[in-house]
Amino acid sequence: MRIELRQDNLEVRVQLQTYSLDVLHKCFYWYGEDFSVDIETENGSIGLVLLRPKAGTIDESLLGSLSERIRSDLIDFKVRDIVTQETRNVRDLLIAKAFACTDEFDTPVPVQSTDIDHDHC
Amino acid sequence: MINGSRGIPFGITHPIVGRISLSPIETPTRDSILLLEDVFSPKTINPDLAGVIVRNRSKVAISGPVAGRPTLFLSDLRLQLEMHDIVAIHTDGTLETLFRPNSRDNSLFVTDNCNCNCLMCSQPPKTCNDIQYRFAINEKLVPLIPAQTETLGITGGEPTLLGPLLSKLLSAVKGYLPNTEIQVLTNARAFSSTDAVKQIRNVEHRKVIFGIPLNSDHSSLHDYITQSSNSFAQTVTGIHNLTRYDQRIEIRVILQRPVVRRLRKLAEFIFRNMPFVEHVAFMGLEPTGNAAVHWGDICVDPSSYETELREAVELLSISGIPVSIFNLPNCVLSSDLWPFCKQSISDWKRIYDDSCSRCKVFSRCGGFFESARTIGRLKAEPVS
Amino acid sequence: MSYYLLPFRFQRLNEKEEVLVNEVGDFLICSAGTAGMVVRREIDSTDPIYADLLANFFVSEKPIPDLIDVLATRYRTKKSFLDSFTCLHIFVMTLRCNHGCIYCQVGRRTPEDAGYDMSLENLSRSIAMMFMSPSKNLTVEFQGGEPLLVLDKIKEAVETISAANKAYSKNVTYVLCTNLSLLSEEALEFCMQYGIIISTSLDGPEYVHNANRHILGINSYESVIRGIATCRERLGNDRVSALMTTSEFSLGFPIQIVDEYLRQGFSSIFIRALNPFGLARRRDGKKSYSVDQFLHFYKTALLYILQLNLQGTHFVEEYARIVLSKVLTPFASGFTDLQSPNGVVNSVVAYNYDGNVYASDEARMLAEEGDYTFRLGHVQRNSYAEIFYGPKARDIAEFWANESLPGCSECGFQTYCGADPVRNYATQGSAAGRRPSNAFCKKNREIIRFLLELMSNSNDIERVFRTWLNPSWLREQPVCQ
Repeated sequence: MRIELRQDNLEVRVQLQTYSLDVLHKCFYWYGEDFSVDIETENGSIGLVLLRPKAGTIDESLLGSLSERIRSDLIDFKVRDIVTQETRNVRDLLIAKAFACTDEFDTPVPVQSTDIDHDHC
Repeated sequence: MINGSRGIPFGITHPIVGRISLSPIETPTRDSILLLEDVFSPKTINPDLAGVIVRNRSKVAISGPVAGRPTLFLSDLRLQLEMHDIVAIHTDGTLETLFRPNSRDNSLFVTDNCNCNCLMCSQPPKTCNDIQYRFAINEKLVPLIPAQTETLGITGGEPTLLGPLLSKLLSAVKGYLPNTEIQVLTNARAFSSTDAVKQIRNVEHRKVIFGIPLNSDHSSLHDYITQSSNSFAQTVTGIHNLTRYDQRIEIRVILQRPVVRRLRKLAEFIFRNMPFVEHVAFMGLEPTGNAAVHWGDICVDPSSYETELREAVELLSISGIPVSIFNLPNCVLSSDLWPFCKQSISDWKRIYDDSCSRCKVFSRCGGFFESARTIGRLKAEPVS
Repeated sequence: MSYYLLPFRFQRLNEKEEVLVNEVGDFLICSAGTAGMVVRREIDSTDPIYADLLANFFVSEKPIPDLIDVLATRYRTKKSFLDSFTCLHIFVMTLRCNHGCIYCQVGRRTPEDAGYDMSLENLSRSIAMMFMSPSKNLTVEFQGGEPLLVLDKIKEAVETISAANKAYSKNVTYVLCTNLSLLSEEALEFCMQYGIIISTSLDGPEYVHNANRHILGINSYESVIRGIATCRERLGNDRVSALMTTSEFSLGFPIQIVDEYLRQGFSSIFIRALNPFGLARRRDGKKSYSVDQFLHFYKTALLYILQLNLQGTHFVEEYARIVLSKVLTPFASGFTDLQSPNGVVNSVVAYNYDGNVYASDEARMLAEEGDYTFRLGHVQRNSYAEIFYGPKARDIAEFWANESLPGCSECGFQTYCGADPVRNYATQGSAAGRRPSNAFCKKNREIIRFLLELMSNSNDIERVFRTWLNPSWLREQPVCQ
């Protein structure tokens, strides 16, 4: 990840393989009150986010804390994206079951033959 | 199974179930078993009597049944038998007390088998083919139980191992004892199948509550206690299924060392996942059976978990779920928890220390387990 | 052995802590960065937090958790308010009013204006439409203007509903929203007869209340205090409730306002911000105070209330209680503003005096300003299906669930929050709204964060919050709010 101040713009460059466009959009959606946000791709594999402050300019002294915030937010939204991807099926199943009207969507709880065996001496 | 005793049987070809009658106080009926306090022949004996029990005080030699009726000669003179106790005489001469009208703690014992082998089980399971046999005994017992009996348990082992016989038993109980509150003690694992629950629901017994042990809020700890994998998932699913089909539920938490640190989290788990339960009971350990064997791993001084217990009790109570503390004497808990303590130890195994007579709250204290004496845990501290 | 993830979201609470929240509202407050560790499989089964993650359905040891049916039941329970569909029916009986409140959102008229009362034809059609709701419980709320200006119509309405209910056997609760300045013996007897609940406005001590609420020639504060006393005496303490509205002037007096409610014998207060509608909007052209100002006021009042509780006085802040019921209990919330899908149509509907039917009270206020975006139809001209399931309702449906709104879909507080398409539209021009500058979002995000942080720092405060949720206390509240 590279974060640079170029004239009035803060330029954030990430590997799209690490932070997808989805993640970038969701993350920088929240910057929309204080910044004008543009999201582009560079050379196919780089995601470029341009942040221009709506009021005033970005102070050099604030650059450090702003960069920190950006890095931390990107990680958070990446984590969220992973959860969404990995749990998509379970979530769909959960909601389908929640609103189903009959028993046929019940998932039988595993029963091994040893569960009700009398083999304890 | 309580007060098992063995005598010498004559003419007992199948198990006899009957109500104790003391001659010559009342006229016996065909459900009666006459109790004679010594070997002698009364002038008249009702020829329809189910059986006769003779206490052989004189220690005479015995040669045959009394008046041609199935007879059991008992030399164990310590055995307490009172009028209207209901007993079973087995063909091998064992005498079993099935029901005592003077006790509040009667149960129908349905099997010694279980599909768990809990660390703290006070009545460890036995593998044996007793389900049909015990069902036949209970079928004879239920009609003899007085209709005004307030409460009756159904216990084992694991009652759901009866399969369809369980609902058959509940039907019989509903028919003969429509006003009696029934508590079935079960791990509910079999109720993870909705078919099993539907059978129960179809009995439409309005006064049944299922008492179900829950050890923890997650499977590895709960299954460690039950010594049986998948038991947590099946029990929790069983609890949910029972509620779907309108059954009433009490959760029982046995207070033992591996579980006490997570008591508050368990309370939260219960409130979040089964807020419909009618009651939660936190129960002191009974140091007998498996519990005695595993005592080193599971024993825990109540003073060491009092904070966790208080938090758990408070959370459930504030959230509107009735809570009780069973099997702990008042003196081991601080007074703010006393309102939750119930006198729960069955009368036939409840004892007090000599010093308890000086205690200010003796009259409402539930006392100790008799087995606590042998394991050296009878630490009474009378409240002044 | 590695574990599988279950659906959850997370949100930073402060520098040190974040909260994980699962799909049914179970939460874990843990150190910042824990969500990342969970996802990167850096948690070991021997870590103390692992058992918590399992027990609270954040991870599972199987791809499909054994207890998935239990989770599904819990999810259905959280959304169970949908089962009953519309249960709160607002009848705006008249726009005429004898008060001049600075934040009025009603579009009121003077008592002398003609043509602003509900006609009997519109009333009877509205009642018929109400009974078509599948809900077993109906709350009928009479609003205005000032409903006591049309007492005859109120009586007619209650008698008609009561008679019609013989065929439906629903549980009907009547609520009369009134400033109590026109309380008469006739009104009192009628309320007694039908068990009508009085909901009035008390903004705070006299100098705050009268600054906000003007009535010519009468001391509004004195009149409402008198009215409350009379109603309590005649109808019963549990039949009288009061609401406050926070004006810019009110912002300076959080503790005094709470004290006033205590002094007047109330056991709770609902701290409400100004809605960005009606006079509240027109007066300045923009909102008359910022979200931050309201939050400062709210937190001051809440902390004071908590102090009272810790010293033994049971006193509840209602908005917090609603949020906490979503955090600390498995049950659904009956509060329409914080439901997802939002309560518009699903829980509440407003029948205006002129026969128009609106998705909510706020939707009606937009119409007073000439914007009919959220008008569902007309009782005389449209059928039940056209109004409740018609194209307007379906348009709103696109935006009424926060599960699918930008900014909300992955927010850690999603389960505890809601969506408000009408407010979004009114303040930002689109029903979806834009979260970063959205006042509803800012307010809720901070209140939820604050409540969670308070509980994390103090077991005593968590205990107080749980007492606020005690069911026997909850039973005293009306079913739908």
